[in-house]
Amino acid sequence: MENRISLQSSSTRQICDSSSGDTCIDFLRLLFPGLQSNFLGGLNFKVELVISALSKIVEMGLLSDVDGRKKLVDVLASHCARLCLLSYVAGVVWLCLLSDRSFNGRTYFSENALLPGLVEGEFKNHRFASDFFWKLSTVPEGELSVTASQVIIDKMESIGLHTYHQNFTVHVPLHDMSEPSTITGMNIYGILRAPRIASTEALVISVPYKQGSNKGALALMLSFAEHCRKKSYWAKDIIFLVTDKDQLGMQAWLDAYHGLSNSYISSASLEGHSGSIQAALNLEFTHEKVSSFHVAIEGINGQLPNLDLVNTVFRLCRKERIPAALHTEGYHENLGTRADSVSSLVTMVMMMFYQASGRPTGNHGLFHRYRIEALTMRDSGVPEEHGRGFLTTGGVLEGVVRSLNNLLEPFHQSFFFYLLPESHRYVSIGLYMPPFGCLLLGPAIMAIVLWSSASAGPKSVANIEALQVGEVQGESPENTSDQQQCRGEMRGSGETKTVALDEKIAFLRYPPNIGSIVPLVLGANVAGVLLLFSADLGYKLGQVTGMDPLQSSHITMASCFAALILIFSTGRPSSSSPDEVTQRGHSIKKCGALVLFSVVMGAIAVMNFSFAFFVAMFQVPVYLFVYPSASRSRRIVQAFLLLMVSPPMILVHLLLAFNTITSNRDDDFGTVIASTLASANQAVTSSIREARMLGLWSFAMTCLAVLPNWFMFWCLAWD
Amino acid sequence: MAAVAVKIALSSLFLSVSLATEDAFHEELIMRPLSTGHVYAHFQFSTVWHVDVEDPKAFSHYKLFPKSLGQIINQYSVEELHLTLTQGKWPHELWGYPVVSAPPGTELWVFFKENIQKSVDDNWSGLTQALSGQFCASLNFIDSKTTTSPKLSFRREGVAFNADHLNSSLLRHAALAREIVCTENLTPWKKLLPCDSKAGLTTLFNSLLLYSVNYHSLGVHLRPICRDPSCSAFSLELVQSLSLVFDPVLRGGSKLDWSFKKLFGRAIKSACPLARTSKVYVDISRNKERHGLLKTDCQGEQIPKNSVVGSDNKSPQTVTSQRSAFIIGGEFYDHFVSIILNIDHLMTNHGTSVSLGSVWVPASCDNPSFFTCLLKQSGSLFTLAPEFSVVTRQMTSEYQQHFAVYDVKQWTLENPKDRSLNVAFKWKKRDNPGTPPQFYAQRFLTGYGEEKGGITSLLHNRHPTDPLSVVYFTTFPWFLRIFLHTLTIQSGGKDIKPDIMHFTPAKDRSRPYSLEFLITLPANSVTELSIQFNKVFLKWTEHPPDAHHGFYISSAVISTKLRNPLNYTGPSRQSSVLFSSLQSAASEEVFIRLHTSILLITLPTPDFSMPYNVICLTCTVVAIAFGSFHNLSSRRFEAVDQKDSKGPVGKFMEMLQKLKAKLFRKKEAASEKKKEN
Repeated sequence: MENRISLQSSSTRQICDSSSGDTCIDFLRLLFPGLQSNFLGGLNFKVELVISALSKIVEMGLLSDVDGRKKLVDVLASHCARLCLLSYVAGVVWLCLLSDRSFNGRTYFSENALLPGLVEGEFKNHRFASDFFWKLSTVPEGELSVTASQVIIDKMESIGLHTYHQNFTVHVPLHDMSEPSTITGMNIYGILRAPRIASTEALVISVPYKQGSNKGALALMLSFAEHCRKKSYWAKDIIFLVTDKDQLGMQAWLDAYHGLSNSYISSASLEGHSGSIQAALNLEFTHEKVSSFHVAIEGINGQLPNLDLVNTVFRLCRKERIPAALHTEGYHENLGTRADSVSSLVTMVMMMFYQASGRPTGNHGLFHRYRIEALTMRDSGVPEEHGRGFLTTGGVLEGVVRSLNNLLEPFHQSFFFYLLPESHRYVSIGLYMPPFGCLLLGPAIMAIVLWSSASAGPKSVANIEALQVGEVQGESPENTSDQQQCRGEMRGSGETKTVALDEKIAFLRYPPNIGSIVPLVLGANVAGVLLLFSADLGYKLGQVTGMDPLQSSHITMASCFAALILIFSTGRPSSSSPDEVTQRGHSIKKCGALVLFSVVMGAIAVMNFSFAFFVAMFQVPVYLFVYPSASRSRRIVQAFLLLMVSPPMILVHLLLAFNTITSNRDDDFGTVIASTLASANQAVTSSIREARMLGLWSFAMTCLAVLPNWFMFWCLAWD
Repeated sequence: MAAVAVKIALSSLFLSVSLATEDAFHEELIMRPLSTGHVYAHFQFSTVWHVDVEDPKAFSHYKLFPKSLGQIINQYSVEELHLTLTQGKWPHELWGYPVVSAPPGTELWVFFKENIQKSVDDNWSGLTQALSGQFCASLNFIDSKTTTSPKLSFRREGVAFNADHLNSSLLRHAALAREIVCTENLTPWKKLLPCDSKAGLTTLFNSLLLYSVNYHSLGVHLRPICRDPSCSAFSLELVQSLSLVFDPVLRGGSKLDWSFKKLFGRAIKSACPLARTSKVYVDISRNKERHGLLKTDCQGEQIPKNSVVGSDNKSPQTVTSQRSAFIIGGEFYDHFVSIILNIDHLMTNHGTSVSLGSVWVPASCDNPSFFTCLLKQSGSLFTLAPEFSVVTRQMTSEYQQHFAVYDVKQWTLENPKDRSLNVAFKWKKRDNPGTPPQFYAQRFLTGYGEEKGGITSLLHNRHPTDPLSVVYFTTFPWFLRIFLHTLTIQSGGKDIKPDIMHFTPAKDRSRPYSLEFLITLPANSVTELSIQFNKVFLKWTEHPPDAHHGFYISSAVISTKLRNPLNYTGPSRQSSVLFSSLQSAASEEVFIRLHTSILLITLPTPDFSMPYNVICLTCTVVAIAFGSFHNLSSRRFEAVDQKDSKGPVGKFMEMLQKLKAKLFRKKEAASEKKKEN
């Protein structure tokens, strides 16, 4: 290395006279803003020497390889459009391909303590279940009445569970005038104290009451409780929980169990406690016979249970010979040889739909926030003549609970981030993140190209110097005159090389005006915050003026959105031929917006991959396309495209796709559209409500992260 | 056989009379059906050794007292020792109070002698190591991180030799919640008994069945006691106890009925020949409790006159216990002293069953039909076989406790043919769940996530009129950052101020937090105590095996004095025999210590399988980023004339460059030729 330094190229030595010495100091200042004074003061060398050495290091260093960088940027700039398109297509196709068996892996057990299906099934309590099922049939369906709750409590007590109940009241936020503003309910739970442990750990088996329609699950759960009571091997307390009012009741119970307060759900404190909950199973069978299980795993805010738990359930279903599947809605048998691939793709996409919504697909989803692994097992919902009875379903339940009973440590092995194209195939986070990165590569490339173009040296020195004098930060007039003086002296052999270095470090000389993005970002984010609170504002307004508050809040939200769109799209005159400074401004704005977009999407992808992927899938091509333009037609096209990928429209697109997949084949398109619009409306309302009651992030994430980004591009389109 | 038995029985009777001043051994078993259908069995084996407690040289001749333990006690100058090894949790709200309360896991608390050789801490660590070997338990994990000296909650239970007995500097307390109890602990514990498990009540110990129970607690309690009422000399008392709670349902069949054969797999066939008393008691109070007083239910039957309290003359064995007037301690903390420190002094029993205010009625008594009536009423809850005698204990003016008594020695004498005593208990109808006791507590974790959390305790005082003063003592490991300002004590929305409070903050890796305070619970209330903490990142070597399992927080200890707790049987301060303690008078207060449940808490845990990845990542970062920075900041830059000597490497490089130039030139020439062509 010593020698390499001594072999300094003549170019550097020659350049680094006084004129480029300033440049180098500027460069140094930029590279090490904090170090500069110490560094320069500490090394007691001639400035010239330092500069020459530094410029050498700049040339050879990995972090500051100006030459290499320039080459790369040049390549990117020349193929920008193609590269962006390619990366986008590659990203989407890659992800779709992952659903195929040749690209994903077979699931396996990471946690060896589970030992699924190792013990012999002992559950023979199906008669008890059948009896109780018929007893429940005599209880009138409807809300959890006093008689119905007494039947359940009596049964639990006669089994020998420590039985408690919990009352809760829900004050529905943004409630409709036609609905009651408060909902009351009661959860019932019985704790089976494990003989082998001092109540430090627990498992939960929960059953939503569902207006009495969930009889099969209730009967099975209690018969299983009766079975468990007679066994001495339990090393974890088992909590048998009957929740009322679906997710509200579940949330009330979980809040109370963890000693949390919720301003919308006031739940009474629990009389009986157990230890930390390790896992939970939620059961929903309407009927006595079950022909196949439907396993729902997606939890709140796209959280998923540990893959080991999912595997255990599927393994035990297979052991008991009950078919179990994830999402069967889009399955069509008449696809021929490709049926498997298509159905696994559809399954994966359905899972992504559910995950993207952020809403739990069952009561299990609420457990996930507390780091309790949970999932729901459902039946198909239609009465089955030839399904399996309680003996088999009980066997599955017993097997799963005994596996969980074996756990020494809570679930921590296996995967928490995955997609499931089939019940026994998985796509891990390591596999699905690269396609997403590919998707975001386009914006990144374009941002780099724009940055380099925004900071490129002027085409002619004189022209740019005229423009830039006084604009360049930290460059005093003396410096400029110095430079000119130097340049005058330096005519001759060194001139070409000076120009070469000038080009290399042009971005230092003419740093892009990053400050120009700040008002845009600020404005867009304020708009997002405004929209976040517009729903409440409208609701209050409706209450004051006597309108239907819910409708009023919808109207306020929509009008807020419209008003913001209008505000952002007006007031800027456009000249037909923008000067260089304006172009630079545009470049830097778009560059900033793209970088922000990539960062935000990357961050969201870690929390809720599907949400980020769908949003990016819609927005990336349009964002890449949008650029301030003088052409009227282009502006209109841009505006249209932007509106099509605005967050509300993305919601509609996704719902449309979802409804198309799930609808019957004979439904005509009109009904699908109608149901889509209705459900979009419903989705917005419920996402606001559930944000308050259950802690759903979708609405806030849209308003505070996705929408500001969109506003920035909208603004750019009209610049 | 019969003759031998008679001889043994006679000789033991003789022993009990003639050797009143010799070492004594008593074995007792209390069985109590709990309202949940479970059965509580409490074995108590007490050995009294008449040794000069204060003379270390006296600890050399052993008879009944176990030598291995005696040597340890002597070596480490132990004055009082209480060790419990427990599996399972005792839910007070359902089962009432146990005879001896114990937290899940291990608890050890010890008073050392004042004239101790080394420092207390040295003796403590030596003692824990020795006991660890003695009982095959992981007591050696007790170190300064778990040890505390609570000021209020623990007091000497035996004789205090000095006036400064309130000073807790000689006390060490530690609890290990993670410790698991198994047969490996039972075996050395059994070996401390004079009869091991060869004869006597210990023959019931069937390890397989003893450990498939809902609650299992081994205890060793050692204390000095007065040898006579005047307390002129002292003795050493070792009480070994085993508490079990069986679930008859788990023993086959869905019925809650039980018998010795069902619970233990065998029956009692003999008494320990060395034992002075060998008795089995079965709590039959609930039969009566439910059906009111006998007078109304058993009309027509002759009610024995001697069952009335106070008519003690007819019972030959009744001796009124004498209480020593020696009350230790001064009135330091006003009312607190009256709660906790009012330790009545001890006296020995006189080799006979002592009872106060109660009446013994032998099985061959004046009026068997009365008790037959008691159990044969149409409304009675259960039946008990075989025939038994009854001891009655007057709790309050309305409430009495009744115990069926089987004297094993007498039984083996009277039934020479079939000597096995198999007590069988049959429910006639399902018992209704009992009411929770007057005072109980719950404790649980609040919050979620790996950053912070909280602990909430609920203290229930169910007494309709009387407020209750309790001492609450809890320790937290150092890796929970407890915030004292977040401690809230509320009852019905009102803040309660602790009357006395002691708080010792933790030191990282050397001392736990300990918090102890005295509060008064309002009558008929639920008081909520809560405190918040932050969790700490541990060093990766500090995680135990099964790191993700979590960490245990040992249980809180709550001490109080209750007036007339229903259905309570506890060890006596005055007597070595369990049953003489049943006679607490109607107005007497009983000291009660409760242990809350232990808690399992997860700390942020590193992924132990990831070091490789971390190393790779770190190396990459170092190679790329740090390399150039280091290069930049550590290199000396000098101007070198290119024409100067270049050194060997420089020359070599030059040669290479020349070679390169030649090669390239050739290639270029070739390509140019091609182009030309």
